[in-house]
Amino acid sequence: MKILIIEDEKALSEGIAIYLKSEDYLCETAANFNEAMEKIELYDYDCILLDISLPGGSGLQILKELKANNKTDGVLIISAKNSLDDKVEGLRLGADDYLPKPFHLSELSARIAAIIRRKYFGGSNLVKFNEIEIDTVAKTVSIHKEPFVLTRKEYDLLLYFVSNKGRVISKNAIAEHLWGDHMEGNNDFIYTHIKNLRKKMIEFAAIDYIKSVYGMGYKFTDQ
Amino acid sequence: MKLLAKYNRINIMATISVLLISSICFYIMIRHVLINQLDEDLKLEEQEVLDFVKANNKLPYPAEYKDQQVEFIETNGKPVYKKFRSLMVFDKTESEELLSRQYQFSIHINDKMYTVLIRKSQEETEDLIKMIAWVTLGIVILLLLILFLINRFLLSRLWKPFDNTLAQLKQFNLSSKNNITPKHTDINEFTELNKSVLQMTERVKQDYESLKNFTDNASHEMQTPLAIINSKLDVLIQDETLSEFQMLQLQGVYNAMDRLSNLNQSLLLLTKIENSQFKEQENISLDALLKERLSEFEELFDAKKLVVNLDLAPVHISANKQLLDILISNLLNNSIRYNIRDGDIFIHLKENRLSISNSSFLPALDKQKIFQRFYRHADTKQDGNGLGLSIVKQICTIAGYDVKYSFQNNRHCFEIDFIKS
Repeated sequence: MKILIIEDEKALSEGIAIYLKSEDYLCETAANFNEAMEKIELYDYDCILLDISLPGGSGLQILKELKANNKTDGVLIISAKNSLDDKVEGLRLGADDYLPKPFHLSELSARIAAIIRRKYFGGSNLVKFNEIEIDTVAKTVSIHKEPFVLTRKEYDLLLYFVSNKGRVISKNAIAEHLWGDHMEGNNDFIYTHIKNLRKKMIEFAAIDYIKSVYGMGYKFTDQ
Repeated sequence: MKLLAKYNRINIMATISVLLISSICFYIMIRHVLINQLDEDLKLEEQEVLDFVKANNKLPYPAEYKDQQVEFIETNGKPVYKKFRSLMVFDKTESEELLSRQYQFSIHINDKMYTVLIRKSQEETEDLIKMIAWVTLGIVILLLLILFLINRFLLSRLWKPFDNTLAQLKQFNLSSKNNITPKHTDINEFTELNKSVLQMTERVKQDYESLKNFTDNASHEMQTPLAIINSKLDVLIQDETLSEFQMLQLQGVYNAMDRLSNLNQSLLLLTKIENSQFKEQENISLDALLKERLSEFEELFDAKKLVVNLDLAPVHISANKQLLDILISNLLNNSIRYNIRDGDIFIHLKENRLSISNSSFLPALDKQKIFQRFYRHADTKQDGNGLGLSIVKQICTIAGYDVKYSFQNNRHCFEIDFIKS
């Protein structure tokens, strides 16, 4: 999978690239408008991360160009403006998703995974992790082909974990993914919530993939 | 008081007093002239009597005409002073008392002293004065009427350009892009006013634009470094050689980072609401929206083992969905965050009124300060950024809702009236 990161802040695109590489994505970066235009003309990408304010031009212009050339690259806008107008305009122009800065890389990764899933698997799609199968269209989970009943938040949490498998996710990132910024500064209840999911999985299939990392985050791994 | 009314009042009072004083002067003058005329006539009569006496050395016969009487009275005393006076005299023909002017003087004939009284009716003079007074009064009333009509119709027409500009100023709203277009007027003062208004609104618009750009830029400049810190942290915690101590330090950085980005978002939101950037209105089912939010928060209620009591009647309002969402989320959020373990929350929705009350570890809050930015009770530790209720208040102000806080039976209660006040 090839990803193009169009972002003028080197430090940020570097961080994103490092994080995504561990997911076996091939990342390229473009730091300004012209460089980005050059790359989208020459190559096809599975997903393009697009910053709106760029030196030399607007990210929305790049988006228009992409659609004018009938490119099918998935586009995820990452903008610092978080303005509704930008979001509406971006989605109207054909972007797949919009993520306001600042964001957690685990969130970004999950969104990219969702875009690629939609792009390549269309109607029916299963996300698999060993014996776990998540149907992202029906929003159901099965383990060993047995339906595994979860609440909506538990489902979201499990999918989030699987989308970021093998990586440490901070409690803050989990809280924000599940409840937006509503529970800022009070992440302790996350512990209860994750404990419940973990217990359910152990009881259902005797599997325990959720590892706590020194109380600061969690890792979903079979190692 | 309206300028026109004030001007009218002064104008009419001045006019009335000038007319009144001049009428009185006029009356006195006319009266003086007419009485003088009468007195001249009486003097003329005296001269005739004196001429007769000189020629004939005897008194003429007393004459009694309709408007003039001459009377001779024999006296033994001293001669009387020549004197004019007005008095009521019985008139035989009219058989009533009539006002007359009388002149008295003395004549000395053959060692006999006579007092001569010449009288002339003053009634006609009085009638004349009366008529003149009526005519004057009529003129005064006519003048006042005309003045009033001029003030009423002409002046209000003259003020039209001013009223027009004022109405447009009242309608002026920075965020909506309507311009002020003053009506053309040939009155210098109003042209000047319109020019100044145009200049001022132009300046205000420019300032507003630059402020908005500044806010936008500031947010951009803040969000990007925040995003970098965040991404670096996310990469850093993947390092498996980090010790528990280092991880705990990083947790502190994460939390501070969250607070900072949350604060930044909230300030931006407040600015956006103040700038009325949420204008789209739609019909929203308040009870459905509440239920949706409540199901989102379900795990949060469970974590604190909170009992939620619902009493929701169907209520539909026209509002901005995003703002209403933030309003409800902020209130629910507070009711969870400051609640005690095993506490409860009551949510009532009835007839356009939403009330959310909850048990809490906090005592009564200061009603004056509760909606102020960064107001936080000393016992709240570091939860929240102190902007949640300011945002609630701001949303209510913009939308015209009434929001009230009360503390009863150890419960905090927020009440919102969705009827536009």
